[in-house]
Amino acid sequence: MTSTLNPALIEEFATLLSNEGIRDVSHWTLPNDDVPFDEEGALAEFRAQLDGAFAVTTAAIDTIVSNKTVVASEK
Amino acid sequence: MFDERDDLAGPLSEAEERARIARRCAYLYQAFEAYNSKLVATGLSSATMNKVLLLNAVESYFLDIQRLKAFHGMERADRFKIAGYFLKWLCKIRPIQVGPLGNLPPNLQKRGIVVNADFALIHALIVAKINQPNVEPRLVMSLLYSAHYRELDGGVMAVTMESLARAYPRAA
Repeated sequence: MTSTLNPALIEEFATLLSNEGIRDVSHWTLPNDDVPFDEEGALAEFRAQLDGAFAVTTAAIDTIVSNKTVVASEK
Repeated sequence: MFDERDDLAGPLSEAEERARIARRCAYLYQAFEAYNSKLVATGLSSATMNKVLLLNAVESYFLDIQRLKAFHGMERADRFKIAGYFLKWLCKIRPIQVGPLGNLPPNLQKRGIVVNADFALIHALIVAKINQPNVEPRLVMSLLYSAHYRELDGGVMAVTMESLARAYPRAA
């Protein structure tokens, strides 16, 4: 047993599908000016930037610890 | 600087796919070695990278990117997606393992507990070319919290990294 699809609706969607302006949104991608990923260049960059990044997360972790210390001392 | 042009997107042979995954694993393993040397210097000496879990994270990342590209008809993933999607998968699979933390000072215990989130966040900040020292400590703490506790969406993390990169650009 089947239920008939409305041919007018099919036609309407087929027309919409042929509208490039509408389809552009479905295929919308953001601009990308990057160059291909290079593991060896990325590794050198990671090593060069590690000290600064490590210091930043160290400060964040130390903040968590000091916050807990304050809370504990307030009890 | 980076994009994932044609990563596992069909034209690559299985041998080429495996080579891409192996190179990315080696890159992340060596990045971890550099990160681990910092951990050891602070007194946390028990962290190791489980290579099988790392492979699982990297392959999952590539499959995720492949799915993203197929859905959007997208040719390339930029540095923010690379940063965001690796942040997601490294935090989900947690390939870094640590030994007992019970007798360590509180700051080393915290670092040990969040070590996967910490490494993944540092990696993301560097890949996205964010000038890390300028990012507010409160924001870094919030990112670290999210990386450790929350269910991360790669796309949302990508736009988070792009926002940070626009707000805190690193000089080329």
